[in-house]
Amino acid sequence: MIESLLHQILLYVPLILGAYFSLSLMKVPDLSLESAYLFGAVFSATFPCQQGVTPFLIALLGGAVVGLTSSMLNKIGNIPFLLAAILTNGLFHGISQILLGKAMFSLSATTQSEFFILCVVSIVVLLVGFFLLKSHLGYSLAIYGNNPHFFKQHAVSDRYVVIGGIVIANSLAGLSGYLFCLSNGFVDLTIGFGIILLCITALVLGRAIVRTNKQTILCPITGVCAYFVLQDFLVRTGFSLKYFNAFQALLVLGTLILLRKKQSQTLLADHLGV
Amino acid sequence: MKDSICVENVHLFMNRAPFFQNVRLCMKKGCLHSLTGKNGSGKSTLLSILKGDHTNFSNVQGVVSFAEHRISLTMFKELQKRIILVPQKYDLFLADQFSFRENLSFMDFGTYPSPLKQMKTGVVLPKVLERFDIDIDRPVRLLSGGQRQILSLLMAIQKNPELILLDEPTASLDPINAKMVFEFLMAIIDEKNLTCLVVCHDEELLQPFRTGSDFRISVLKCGARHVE
Amino acid sequence: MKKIILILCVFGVLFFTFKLSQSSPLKKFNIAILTPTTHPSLEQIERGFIDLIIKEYPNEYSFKTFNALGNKTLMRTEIEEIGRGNYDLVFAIGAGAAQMSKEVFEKKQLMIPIVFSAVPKPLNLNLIADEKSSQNTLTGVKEVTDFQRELSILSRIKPKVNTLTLVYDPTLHGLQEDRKEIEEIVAKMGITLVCVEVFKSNEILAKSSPFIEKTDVVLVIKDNTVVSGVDALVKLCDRHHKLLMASELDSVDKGAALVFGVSETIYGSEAAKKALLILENGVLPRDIPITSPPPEEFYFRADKARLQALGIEFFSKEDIRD
Repeated sequence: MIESLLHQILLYVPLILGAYFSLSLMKVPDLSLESAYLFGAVFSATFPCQQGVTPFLIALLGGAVVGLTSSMLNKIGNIPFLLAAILTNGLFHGISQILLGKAMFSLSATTQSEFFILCVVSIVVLLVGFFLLKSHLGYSLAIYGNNPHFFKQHAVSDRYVVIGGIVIANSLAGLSGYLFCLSNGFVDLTIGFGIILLCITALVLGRAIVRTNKQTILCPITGVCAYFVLQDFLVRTGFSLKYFNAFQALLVLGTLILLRKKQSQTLLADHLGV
Repeated sequence: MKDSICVENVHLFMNRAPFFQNVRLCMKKGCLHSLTGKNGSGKSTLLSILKGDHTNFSNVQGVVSFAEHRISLTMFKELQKRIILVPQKYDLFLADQFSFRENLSFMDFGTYPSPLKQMKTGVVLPKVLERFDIDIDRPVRLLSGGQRQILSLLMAIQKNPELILLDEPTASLDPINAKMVFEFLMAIIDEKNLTCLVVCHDEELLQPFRTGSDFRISVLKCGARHVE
Repeated sequence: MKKIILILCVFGVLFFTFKLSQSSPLKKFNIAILTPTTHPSLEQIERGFIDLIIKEYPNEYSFKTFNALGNKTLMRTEIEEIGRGNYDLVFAIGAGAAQMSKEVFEKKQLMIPIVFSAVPKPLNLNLIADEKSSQNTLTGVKEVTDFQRELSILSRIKPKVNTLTLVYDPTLHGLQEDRKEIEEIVAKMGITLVCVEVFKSNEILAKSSPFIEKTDVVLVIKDNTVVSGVDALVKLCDRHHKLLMASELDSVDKGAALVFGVSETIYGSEAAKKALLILENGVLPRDIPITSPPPEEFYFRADKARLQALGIEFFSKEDIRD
């Protein structure tokens, strides 16, 4: 039971960490995570070489391309980020369709233990995330979410910070998409549906549990664990999953209200509440 | 002059009309100078030009002399290395979610913050800060206006500029905090031998702290600005 | 940190105290029904499955439906839960559900039989090794449409067809291959095929309107997206007096002049027969061949046929559906 729950959590660790960078730290409406998740999976699954670490690197690259597109549309094209993300989603949905060639694409089975692969990938991702959060760039991402004008005042390139942050976030989403498809044996065009709500719910839960304004890797880890423990619990107790989406929305709403209840301990409000 | 920073032959046209015409300032090093004038006389514009704002003032002419170096006002990056402007809205300068200490550490980032370099929080604070009883580990948004202005000054100084420009640093502060800011400014000027040009409307507040010149901008009949 | 531990403990206690069994201890067999989303067609398939089993063996079976609500993450969680639960068989509706269940159970080395239904081209998905014998724990009913027969009927009842417009969702499994098959057939018949790709049912009207004037027939195949929004196509065809031919029998009630297809409940009932073979007779899934549903039925609707400019003198009384 614990292993299957852990298995599911490990599939989404890179995604939630990526969402933490863009949605939580930078506070940008990074809806392109959805197409990064899809495109990372599609690009990697359809890449000719499927040996060794190549597919994982290709998945990261696929997600990075999506992040680069949305961030460049915003920073160089001067398109508001929400619109840039929506346009990017449309664009990469079409590209994914072209690459797949059909609605569903089967992946060949992995030769090594899947759980082992997930553990290794998650540990590497978490270690990289941990050191990145403590680095100059990690702090810059958080500063951007706090005061985007800071960079102009101090002659720091805000273009570099935004593009760098979004590329990292989306590349992690792409990796997560590939892990999900590897685990399920196929990739199709609908795997990205519901990803943003999953990210927001997990981050809100993480924030509610780890009540801090500082950037910490504990927040996304706790959030993703809490999300899947809760989901698993609901399934086990016979909760009618027809209402799962509504339950998710109510959960996010309730958590946000609780977070803001005590004014003196209010965590900084932002447009997404994450 | 080697012990002065001189701004010379500043010309600026806006909408084809002369805005600044042959403006000249000479500021003795290690002193606090003031720039005064009526509202709309171009004080903030002059500060922006000196700071190296290339987005709005690409057609400016003039030279800034730092002892052995003469830098044209169009060499924006060179100017940005030597001159820092602390804006009127000093909160733009700060990341108020973070502490006083962390904000000072952010000055190490450079133009392209590295994903490999870890942030160091062991920043060396000036001794004068001890007098001001500031909790340096508290989030900046919980500090008073004066304390935040002091932080913005410290952050500006971290880059070791040759000239600091302050655009109405005490405009939104009460008299006690305003006095605290100027006391800190004087202490830091003495400690680091900095040159400072302040725009301030409150002559009564400014007068005891001014150790340099008082430059006045006046608007001529033709609309051009002139500095005395 | 204390809060995290506290919350985890609360969840842990709840896990072990809420031991709601997935089935009543009195039932002989427990079946999990995995459906990808909420859709009338899928509900009919499920209904067909349950009704046949209940009819044959009343009160001996319990059924639990797991609806993924279009969310693959949720589907995965549900499959994990099915794997842990005390289920004797899984009925997977659709390609995604079948594929994911097979993958997860194989990795966990679970031998729960899976009966799938409404899966187009299961061989292409590597669900089975061969249609005669899957060589694994799967069997089921594949989704097949005899386009040759369908288009032959069309050519008999409306000989002068120059342009055929196909409205479909290319993101659904199997439909791109269906489109290619239709393309080949109509090419031999000298008919021009125009394809309108839609991704959501609210796009149908906007995307189909530019092509309606120049087309003679609008064709809708087994496509959950377009079938959900077939009302829009009905209005369009009525207004422009163009023939609408659908592959869902329910579409005739919504206003299609011609339908050629199989009732969705048949997909469910055929799958139920296989499930009963496995559970009641002990036959292994690998020994049950993958089958197609019975041949399609053809119906037309007289009032719509006139409105959509179709002569009805060819039809026998048996073909008419009220």
